[in-house]
Amino acid sequence: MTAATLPTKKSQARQVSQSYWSLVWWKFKKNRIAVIGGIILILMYFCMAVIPEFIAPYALERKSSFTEARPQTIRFIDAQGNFSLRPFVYGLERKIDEQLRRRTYVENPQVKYYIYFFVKGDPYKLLGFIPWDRHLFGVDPSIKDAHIYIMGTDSNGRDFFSRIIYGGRLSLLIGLIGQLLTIILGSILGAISGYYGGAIDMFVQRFTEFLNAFPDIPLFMALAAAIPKYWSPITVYFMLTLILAFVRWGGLARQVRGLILSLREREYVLAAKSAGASDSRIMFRHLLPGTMSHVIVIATLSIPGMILSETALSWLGLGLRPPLTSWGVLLQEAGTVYAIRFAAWQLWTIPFILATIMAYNMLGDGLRDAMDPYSAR
Amino acid sequence: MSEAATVATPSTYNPPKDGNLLLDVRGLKKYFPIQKGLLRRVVGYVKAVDDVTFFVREGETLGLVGESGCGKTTAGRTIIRLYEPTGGEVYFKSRVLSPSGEPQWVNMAALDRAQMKLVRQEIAMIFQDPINSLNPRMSVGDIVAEPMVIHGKYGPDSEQVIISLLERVGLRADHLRRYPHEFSGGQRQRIGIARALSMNPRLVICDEPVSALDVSIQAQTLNLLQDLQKDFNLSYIFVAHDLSVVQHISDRVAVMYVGKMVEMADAEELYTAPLHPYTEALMSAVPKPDPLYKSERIIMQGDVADPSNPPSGCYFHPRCRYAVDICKTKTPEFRELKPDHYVACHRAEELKLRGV
Repeated sequence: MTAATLPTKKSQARQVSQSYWSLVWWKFKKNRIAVIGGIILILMYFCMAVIPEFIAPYALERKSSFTEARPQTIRFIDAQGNFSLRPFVYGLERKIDEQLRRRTYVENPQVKYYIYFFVKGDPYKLLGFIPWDRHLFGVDPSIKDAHIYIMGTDSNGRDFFSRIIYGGRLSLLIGLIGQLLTIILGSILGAISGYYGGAIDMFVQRFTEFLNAFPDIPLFMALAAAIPKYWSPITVYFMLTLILAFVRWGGLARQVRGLILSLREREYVLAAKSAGASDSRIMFRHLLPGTMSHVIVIATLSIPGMILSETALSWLGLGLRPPLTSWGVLLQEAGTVYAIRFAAWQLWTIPFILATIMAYNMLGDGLRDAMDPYSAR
Repeated sequence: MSEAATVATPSTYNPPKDGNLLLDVRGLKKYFPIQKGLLRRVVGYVKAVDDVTFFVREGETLGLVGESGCGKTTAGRTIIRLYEPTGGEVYFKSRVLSPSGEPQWVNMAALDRAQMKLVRQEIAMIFQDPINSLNPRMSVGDIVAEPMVIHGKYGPDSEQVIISLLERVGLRADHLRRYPHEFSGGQRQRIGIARALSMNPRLVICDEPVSALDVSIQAQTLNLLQDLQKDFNLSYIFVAHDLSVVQHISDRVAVMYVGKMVEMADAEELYTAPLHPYTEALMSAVPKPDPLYKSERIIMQGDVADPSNPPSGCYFHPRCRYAVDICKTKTPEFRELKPDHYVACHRAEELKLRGV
């Protein structure tokens, strides 16, 4: 039985008051920084997790002869000082650096490629089932050898910007899905532990302590190393998500347990009990909703940790492996002195990771303030 | 109901001659274990309710009074099995568990979970704290409907029932979709009352229902409770520490001290002619709205006894002005000294005690 099952008359609807969550939303909206953080995240998730094929100008594995090419600058004014409303990039030209004895690329002001929106490019399936070949931006495909690499290319000549966009999908989703699993596991086990107490509580608490006592990274390493090499990349991805959730649910379970311990003595719980409510009804209808605000805040603030764990593991070579592409994988590919010295644009992944983490923290701080809408502030 | 047939009326229980009873509590005990150390060894018990005997007649209000910590709230909660009783019997004349529909005596302390759930339809509770007793995440409609939902009685007409209940307790139909934080303390207590009435109970355990309210609101709430009692033919167990409130609302009053029942009588008689020294001392503390009245309070020496380590004999003897040797050794029996006047005191016959 929820309010939704009660028919809403129009005359009453106007007088419908503020539920807890609408108060939270109302207060959250007033916090500008948190709203900005939220918008950044929504944009990132939409662009990278939902429609990366459209946002990225090239397909993930589209190789070219331009290996480790420097980023092309987007320009409005050319070398002669002529202004063009349509932005363009200079074409890249191969050169041999005599001193270093290696190939480099320089921008050639003679060749201009104008940037168009919604250009035809590599075909893909939008959302996995809509076949399409348009990309958000690109250069005229009818010109031979036209190319646009706004963040350079990697050692296989693949567009780095496209790879960051595609890599974001896995990195962002591993945080979200992993945290979701953590919430489910942590709050259910925490609730059971706090509500029943006794031997069950003892067992759950000792188990979380056991997990927490392990240093994170070696535990991750051991678990990740146990994933068979012959598994398909997508299975590996889900196993890794599970591992991350499995190692991290303990802290959340403890917090939920503590909250349940205080909530279960409330008189409204006694009222439900005296009316004959079952244990599961008390837990899921009365106790867990009371902890949800707290859980959401903790979860939001710990998603960055999850993303960073994935990045760290992949960087160590224990997490995701090519052909899967995540930000950790990209960093791992860029993690050589050679790459940093001669292809520093491969570190463009870092600002994306930082932005994600900052946005999550901004959002989480705002949520923490908003979740207590009855406070005076 | 098929499960009702399994509830045997225990052969040891003789329904009292007084045919009007609804609840008969006999020797109810609730001990909370004191645990110590890593292995949670039980080192003792807090005897919160220790051998309490009383009864409630149909349609009446029994006031349950005593100092804080004397076990009156625990007694109320143990009756409805919010706490599992350590011992004793709680006989209730139940309709839902009776196959014929005729009220039948059942021992609530011995019912299993499923049977107890059925009996809970007939017994409701009103709580002390108007803020804590309503789930802040649920709307008023959901709160009042909850007992119906739990017992599978929520149907298409239920919303109308809830609205009429809300109006009956002095709220408005448009409060249905509001949330508890939008109401004042008195209004919240009315929501709690509406919830208690939603299953049409016969017995309502009121656990200090007005002690958290302003005095003016207290009076309104008490009057509401009295009106509802008439309309719905309710019986109340009214747990309170405010003696004037109890006097106002109760037909009979039971006095508890350190987990034990010391006296139970008609309210008028208990206030004017107490038989137990503890009741006398309590009565001397009732404030009187008379500026010329010279207070003659009986100041009790010492502290309330520790329920985990109670004194020998009569628990009240270290503080009693009239204590003699027998009080220190022998636990007094709770007996009917005058018709319908029960007392647990060795010297009840000889003492001449002062009432209000």
